[in-house]
Amino acid sequence: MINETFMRLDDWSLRLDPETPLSVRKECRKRDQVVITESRIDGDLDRDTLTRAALFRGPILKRSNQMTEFGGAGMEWFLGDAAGYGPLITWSFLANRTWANWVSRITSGSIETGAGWAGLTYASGIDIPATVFPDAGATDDGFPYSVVGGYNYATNRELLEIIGGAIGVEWDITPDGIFQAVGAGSGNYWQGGSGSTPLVVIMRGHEGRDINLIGLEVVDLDREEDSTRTPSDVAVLSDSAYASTSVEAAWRDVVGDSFKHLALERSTADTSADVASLAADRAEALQTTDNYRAVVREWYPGRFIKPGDYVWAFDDICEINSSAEGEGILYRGEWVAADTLRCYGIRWAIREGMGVYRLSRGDPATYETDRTEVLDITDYVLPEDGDCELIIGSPEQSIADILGLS
Amino acid sequence: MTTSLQIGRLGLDIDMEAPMRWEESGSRVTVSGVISAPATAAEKLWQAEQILNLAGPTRGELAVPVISTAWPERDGWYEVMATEVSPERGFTAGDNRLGWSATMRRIRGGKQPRYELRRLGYPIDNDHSITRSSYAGFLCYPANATAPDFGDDTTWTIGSRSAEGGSVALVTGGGTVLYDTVASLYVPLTDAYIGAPKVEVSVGGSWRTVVGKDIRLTTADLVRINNGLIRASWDTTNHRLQIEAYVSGAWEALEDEFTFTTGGATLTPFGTDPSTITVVRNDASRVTIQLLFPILSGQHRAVMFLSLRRGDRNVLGSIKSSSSRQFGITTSTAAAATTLTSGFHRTADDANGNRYVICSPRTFTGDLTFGTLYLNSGSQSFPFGIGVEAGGTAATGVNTAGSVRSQYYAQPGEQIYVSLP
Repeated sequence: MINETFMRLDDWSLRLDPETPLSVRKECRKRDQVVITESRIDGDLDRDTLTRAALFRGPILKRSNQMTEFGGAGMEWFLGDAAGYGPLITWSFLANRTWANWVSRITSGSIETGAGWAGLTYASGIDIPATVFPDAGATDDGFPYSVVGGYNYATNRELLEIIGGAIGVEWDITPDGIFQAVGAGSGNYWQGGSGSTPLVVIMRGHEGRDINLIGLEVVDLDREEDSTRTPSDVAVLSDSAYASTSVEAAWRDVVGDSFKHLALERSTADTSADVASLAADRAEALQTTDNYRAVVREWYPGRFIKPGDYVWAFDDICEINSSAEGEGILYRGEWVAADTLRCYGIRWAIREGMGVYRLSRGDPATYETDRTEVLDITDYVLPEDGDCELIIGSPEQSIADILGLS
Repeated sequence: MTTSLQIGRLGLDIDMEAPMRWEESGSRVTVSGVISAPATAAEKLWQAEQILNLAGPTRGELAVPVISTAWPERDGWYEVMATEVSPERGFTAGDNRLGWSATMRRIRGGKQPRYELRRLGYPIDNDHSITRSSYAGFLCYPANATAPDFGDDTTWTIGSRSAEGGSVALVTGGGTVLYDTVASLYVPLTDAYIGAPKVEVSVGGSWRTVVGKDIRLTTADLVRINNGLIRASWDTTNHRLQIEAYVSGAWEALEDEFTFTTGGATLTPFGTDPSTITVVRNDASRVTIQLLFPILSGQHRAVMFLSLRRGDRNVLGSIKSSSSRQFGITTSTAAAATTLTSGFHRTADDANGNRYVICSPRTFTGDLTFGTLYLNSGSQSFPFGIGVEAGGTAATGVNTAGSVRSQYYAQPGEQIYVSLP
């Protein structure tokens, strides 16, 4: 199973047939990488050809069960793992940088020397095309707040989350090692859809193709409400300022009087205006903490949707619907008051028919010269079946986690 | 008609013989029998096909009424879990017998569960400033249902309409309440399909009710949708949609038929019949069929969806295409039309004393010298409604052209849920 997420660490696992030749098992080592393609590709593959066609690529971090079970993370791992290990930034960043400045600071030295980007320095490393930066001069180009404080001794990935989150940038690394980033907002699509119009429809019992929409076959759709993550008010406190904003009115105490269930968060912002705007942002983020889980029967949902994309969703039992008249879709002959929700994660199976490859961990020309660069292990992988799962709604981590504020 | 066994829509038009076995354990019931009575092999096979459509991916309804003469004490609402058909002789032999079985779950409410209409949504998105508070709601259920309860409002108008087979109650008004409500009521088993829309296919010269979402590949004139108040079918001679209305106990065809066009003011008709017709939705609340037209130049097709709701006198239609066109509708007689907000109706009664009502939520240009409308600019999507003002100028209340048009716009999603009383 591949657990693909949006701006988080992906994880994956796969199993080899117990009768896989020992010579093949031996060739899939720790910190090699696994590459999955939509169909098996014949021919003498090199790393670039293979990874450009890949659905997924990630390092092998775990191996067990007589060397037949593997697991690992996605491309983000190369920027830092969940434990905070990774290429550390050992110098301090200061405020008032543009996104371009930040990326070049994060990456300066690293890409050229390869020191901070271990594993990705082969071939072209992580490319950062100039065009992916938000337009110079646009409001999302700089900080909305002047965040002060040092960010040294953070991993590259932590820094990207902190800075990307603070200035409203969303990013992704493709299997062929391209770092792409766009300004945050509803107009971003990594796969299908454009502008405010998603491509995919999630609706129980109503799947199928329409001219401009694709309804996935929904096996299960649920909404998980969790009030333990939703305060009535949120307050942001910094060294010199304090501001609070209401998140959700109508909290009542035991005798029915109005009641505050206040969340306090600390910030490094220094002006009261910045603290107030952070509190407002935080309150907005907390208003949608419901998670939606859709189980869909689909060969590979990534054909239509990637984590970070929006979907149309409607359910009359879970009350998933648009909040304004006129919003919705004309879908297969019915007017549906569907809501647009964001997909944050997709869990999909490595199915029969997909191609699976082992990519050696280094450049065989200069390192481990006895190994082939690409090894096709498709024949030995036990194909998985089962339905796919989409995590929709709010990200599993709060915005505060992304901002590094709490 | 009386039938020996009815499972949902199965048995409604060809008598279903009483089952030979009825095994019940807990809430699980397995019913099995043999199809041998229908006169022809074709009818037997039709019945077998419909049994298969009761369950599986082509299932149309979540819960269905089961009524049997053999053991009426066990009548009730059931969810069909699985069905099986096994022909015992050749498929075409006159004396063939088809064994069948159905595994069902008895819904705990039994004969009188709570029948809920979950309604959630808004009026269809439109360019005519029509909102849920400015236009009437629309809710319909069998008139024999008891104890209806659908939210706290005092502005209901409850009318009725006589459909073929029984009458329905019609709720209009109520401001915004009908757009997010659970209407709960008790529907007698035998009334479950009164006023309910259905898809029908002509088999050997008789119209047969389709169960579920799988129909045979057939020519367009052999499929129609019908809710006992209006029915719509395709005229393959003139490539037009024809509509009949059930008025005062008889079916009356509208004098006008409806041609779909693509060329804006030049009114280029589709000029062809749909190449395939499939069922998109098929339950007692709403049916939708999809008609595929290979009409547009290049590699473009047009997809038309036609939908009927319970108790409605509108065909809810939409055309979608991968190519932007100025889609339109024109009528087949040169009779003058009179405008109304977002559409128009025939000015004078037609030969049968009825008038058509055409509307579109999009901005359009109309020609009232003979009823025509077409989109002002090319679009990949063209929603429309074609309704009937039964009784024409004599219509009153919820049956007037203006009301019929308003009912078109009242389109929240509606689903039927059957549960504990």
